[in-house]
Amino acid sequence: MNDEKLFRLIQQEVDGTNTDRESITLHEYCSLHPEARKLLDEHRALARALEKIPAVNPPARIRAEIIRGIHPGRSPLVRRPAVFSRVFSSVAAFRPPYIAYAAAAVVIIVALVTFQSKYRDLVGNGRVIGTIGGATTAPPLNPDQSFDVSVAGISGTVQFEHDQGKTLVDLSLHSATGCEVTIDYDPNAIQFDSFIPSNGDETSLKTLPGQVTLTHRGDASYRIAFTATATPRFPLAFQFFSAGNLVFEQSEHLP
Amino acid sequence: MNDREDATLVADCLNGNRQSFETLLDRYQKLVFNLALRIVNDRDEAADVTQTVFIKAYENLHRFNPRYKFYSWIYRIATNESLNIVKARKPVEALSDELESSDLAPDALLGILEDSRLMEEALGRLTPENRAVVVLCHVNGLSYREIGDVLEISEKKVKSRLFSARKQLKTLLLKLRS
Repeated sequence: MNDEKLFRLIQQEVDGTNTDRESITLHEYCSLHPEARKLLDEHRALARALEKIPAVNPPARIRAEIIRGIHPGRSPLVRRPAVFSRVFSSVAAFRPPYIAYAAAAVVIIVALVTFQSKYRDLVGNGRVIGTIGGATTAPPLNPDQSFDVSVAGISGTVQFEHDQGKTLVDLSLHSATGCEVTIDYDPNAIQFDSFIPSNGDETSLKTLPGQVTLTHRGDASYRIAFTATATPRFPLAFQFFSAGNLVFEQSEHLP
Repeated sequence: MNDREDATLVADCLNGNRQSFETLLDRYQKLVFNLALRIVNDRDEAADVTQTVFIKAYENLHRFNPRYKFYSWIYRIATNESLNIVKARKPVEALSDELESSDLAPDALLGILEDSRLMEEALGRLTPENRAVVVLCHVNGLSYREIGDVLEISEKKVKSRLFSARKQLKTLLLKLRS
């Protein structure tokens, strides 16, 4: 046993925190090494002597002095406020009449309704879910099966090609702050074949049965290939996330 | 001590019930005073420390985190106050290397330990950090973990400091006796 372990076990034995196994180990070692036994006995005796040091009563005046020291003006909650605090507390104490709350609620509801109907007009077949700091324009659905994305800091084009039972999805996207794109599909109808990045700053791909997820940042274009296994037509559902929030979704029936 | 009861008393006090603080004061006054006394080794200074500790605790009660034990918090204030006083003093007699390596008869130790006055003197000559660990362990009966919380050091450091403190204490006792 090295010194460090011996000292640790003696320490713990004296303070009663050794496990049974540690205690047995220590006593076995001590039975073979008298100097270790002596060290253990000394530390035990020191600990006992320290515990025998008598407790001393504090002078009686202390209590009264402490009570005087914590007079009501020095409460843990009530502090003398500074000028800023006094101004702030008077502002915080102001309570507007209930009619003001009702008026504010009406304004908010009207704004939300107007906002929503305006977006419904803009979006067309695609659906803008929300915006985060970026300009939102209508994502037109082209008859040749492609669509544009321009929402919440994500812009680009998604196009489709069909070739001998394969469907190729070409994405060309720009997102300075980063975005996530998920493509949901029916795994009984099609299967995911391959992912080919043409170029890209930072792109990664996760695949699950029925879902492909791209994490994208900067400028990038890539091709994702699917093969039809059951029906000639199948749906692909695209969802675009910015800062973790769903901002745009689009469904396509292919081919 | 009932930790839950302490937490209730603290909450009552924060709600404006000053009587609750007086209950905490009665509960911990003697323990804080003895902790301070064993570290500063002077009754008057220990009384001053005790007074300062409770007034500081009262004024900063809103900062106390009820996830921790009240006594750990108040002992921390008391230990820091006491160590500040000790460190501000001129060093009296540092433990020299010569003393560390002295070869005094170790068998004499067991007899010396019966003399609690000698023990108190030796305790007062430990380094302040070692003194704080020994007092918190043997006078206030805190666990390694609680001592670590009070002194803001790891349990491992508490153990090693306690071991070296006892070793230093033994040397001091033998030296004082001789």
